[in-house]
Amino acid sequence: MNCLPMQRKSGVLQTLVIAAIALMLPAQARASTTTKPSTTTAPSETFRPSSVGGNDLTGLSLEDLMNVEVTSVAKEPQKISDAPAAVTVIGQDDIQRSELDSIPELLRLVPGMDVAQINADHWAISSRGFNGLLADDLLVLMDGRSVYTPAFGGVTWNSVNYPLMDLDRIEVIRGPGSTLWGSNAVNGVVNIITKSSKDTQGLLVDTRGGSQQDVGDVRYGGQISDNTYFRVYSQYQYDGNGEQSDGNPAHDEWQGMQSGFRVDRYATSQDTLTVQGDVYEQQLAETTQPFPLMEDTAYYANGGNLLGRWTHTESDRADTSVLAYYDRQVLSDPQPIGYEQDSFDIELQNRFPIEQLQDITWGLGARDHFIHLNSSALVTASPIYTNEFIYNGFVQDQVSIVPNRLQWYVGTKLEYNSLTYFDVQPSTRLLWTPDERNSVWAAFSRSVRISSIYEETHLTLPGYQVGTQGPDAETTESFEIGYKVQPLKPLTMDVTGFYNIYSDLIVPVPNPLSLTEVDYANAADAQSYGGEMSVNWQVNPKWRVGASYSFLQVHAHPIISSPIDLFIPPYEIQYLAGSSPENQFQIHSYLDLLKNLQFNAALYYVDSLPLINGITEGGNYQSVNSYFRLDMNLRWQINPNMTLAVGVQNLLENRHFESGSIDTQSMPSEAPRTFFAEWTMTY
Amino acid sequence: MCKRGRTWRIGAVIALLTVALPCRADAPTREYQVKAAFVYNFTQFVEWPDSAFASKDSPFVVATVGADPFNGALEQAMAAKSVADRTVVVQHFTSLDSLGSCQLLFVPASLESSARALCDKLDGKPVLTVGESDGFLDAGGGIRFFFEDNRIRFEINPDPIAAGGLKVSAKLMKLARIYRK
Repeated sequence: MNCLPMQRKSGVLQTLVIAAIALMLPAQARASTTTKPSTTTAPSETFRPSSVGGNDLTGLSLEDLMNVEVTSVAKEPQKISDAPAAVTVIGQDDIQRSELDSIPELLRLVPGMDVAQINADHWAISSRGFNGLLADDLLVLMDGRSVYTPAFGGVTWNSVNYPLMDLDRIEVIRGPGSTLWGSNAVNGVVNIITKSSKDTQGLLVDTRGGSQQDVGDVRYGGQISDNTYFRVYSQYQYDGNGEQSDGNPAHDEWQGMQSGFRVDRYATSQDTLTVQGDVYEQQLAETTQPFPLMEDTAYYANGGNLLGRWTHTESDRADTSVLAYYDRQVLSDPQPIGYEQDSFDIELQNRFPIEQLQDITWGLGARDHFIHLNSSALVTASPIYTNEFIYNGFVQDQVSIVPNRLQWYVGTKLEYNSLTYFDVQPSTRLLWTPDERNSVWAAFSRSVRISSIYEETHLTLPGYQVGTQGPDAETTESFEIGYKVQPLKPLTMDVTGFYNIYSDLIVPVPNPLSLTEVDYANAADAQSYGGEMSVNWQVNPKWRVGASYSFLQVHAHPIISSPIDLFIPPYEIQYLAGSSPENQFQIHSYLDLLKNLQFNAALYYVDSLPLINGITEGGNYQSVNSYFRLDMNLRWQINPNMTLAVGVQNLLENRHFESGSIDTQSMPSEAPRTFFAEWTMTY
Repeated sequence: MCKRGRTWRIGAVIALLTVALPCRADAPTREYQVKAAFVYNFTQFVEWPDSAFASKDSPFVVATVGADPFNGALEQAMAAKSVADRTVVVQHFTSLDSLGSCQLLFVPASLESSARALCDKLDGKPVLTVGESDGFLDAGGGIRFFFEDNRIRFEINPDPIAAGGLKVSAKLMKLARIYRK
């Protein structure tokens, strides 16, 4: 019980240290502003677009006006993410009002996204099916840097962190995005975009304490020269133990520290240079079971990255960008497997118009992953080192068949990787906008998922080693249709339907000659269909309501191509079909009670998981029941520089399971009811 | 009788809806509320020479030309405001030919093709031109709105503004993208 490297006490201590730093920093900041009176730009964070609500915005400063989000479909330069697709954008207003405390938790706001916390330090997150710790069809990028690890095919969510106040937005594409983003963007793409350092000037201290989590952020942004801005930040995070069914702690608490910087140089009116980097270190713990049962297994994660980007804008329809980064991830967790990964990436993208009617976007990229899988007492990996390299090129043409009314997108990604070789990922999309309030789109895409190193490498229990040929890539053909409508000015609705055909799905096939060996083979296929519907209604300037509902059906079948495939356990196939909820819905209410006081509430419903999908301490499977989750918070803007929020999460239940992920031996724990308070100050 | 009554009611609802919908469409959009607020700010951070006005008591005239995209947002933003102690008047000119005296002129995207002719006409005059089409500054305009990350930003072309005898404050210049040919 006591062998955990960190205790609750140390979490509190860290929070106190941050609070102490927070109290010391303002004095320094004020001192520096007296010597440089010209840099009195108000930090943009103090502005809440929705709290202004009214029609006369002349009371706002220029800086605040520049931060008002305005969506203008006709005039906004078309970004690649604006292609007709099922897109959800989580903006700063959603981030603050939802009071969700981390990036994986924020994804709960996306219609149809299945966010299931397995235990305090593991999340299973996917869109449109196949969820689990090894959810491998969702590509996640942070400022263009892929955080999807090919080591096990998925995302180490506990390592995806950033001070939430400095996020600009999270753009989520539900459905395939592989023509632009490449392999593994089969069922969705999550783009986490941080603010320019130009928009994060000044000091920000954000401390949050609660019955489950403590988070402390300190950020300082300043100006290096007339057109060069910077920020530096540090974030401390503590996540407390989840609970076992009887309410006892599940021994899965963790803490982490992350620091980083970003520099933006607006070199000319057309050129922007960005350099940014982060480092993190985390100490975690988990209980593995059913065998061997190891309580309080301590492990660690650390890593860092350095990224540079140059963007040259010629016009609203023509630009060029070059992105290069280095990324390192280390995870000692044996669940699913420990790995060390060093990645190098360079990408070029260019956009140009042909006359008035066509816009071409094309790009080239190269990435190299050096991956070392940890062999442990449990598992032997062979080979230990893998160098996976990926070269890719893409081109997409946007043709204006009838200007402003009918747009046709057609393009393809061509990718070569050292594991599954050559892949073509084309897509075509048609967007019909009969008037300014209605748009209808339809799309076909082919996407692939590259087998992970975990699936390619032969893993055996001690004393058994056999080489094997790795599986091929999984391929998916997706048909999508969508309708967006604005029947009244304050009311928007979005409906999407999809039908996906998955081929050559990779499943574990036990070797009948050996109980200790598992191979991975392309031995299943699946079909899925479903839809997502969302409504946003600004009832009046003080009250916004949003709701969404999603539906999903997956059917999976084994492919018997050799006698050995007969040994595929039926639960592996059931698991493909039954790892995501069939029905989900959520309702949000964002209400301004007074000018400075907000009351926000959200209700989420997640269906039970069709398959027995949890593992109890005794080693029996148990089902994950449907659950309601109710979150509420009050936010009080004390003055332009200070906000206090108090709230509760999961109010309706003492605790509930969200996932029992069968693909991990890390023991699932239950998410308890949580109370918290958050204090945000800017200078 | 009953059936006819229902038909009448359905007809009335449809008629109401068709009347109600266009009314709602005429409310100013968020984009132009923000742009109107920017225009107000421009009047506060730019200095006009006395020669820009006919007399000491002349009002400050903010004008649009062509189809007015503001739908009342400009009047709302300028209501009860003053520019350097002058009262503010909002005017809408229907076309280039009917252009009257003003200090700030908003040129909507719909007039993109005649932007150059208009800017040539105002060259050297103490009028701040504010536009929103891509080529507005190339055509000799003073300030141009553009979109960046779903937010409205502005770009300043210092030469024609200085040629008109106007002075742009350092604060405005600092927040703007500066246009270079």
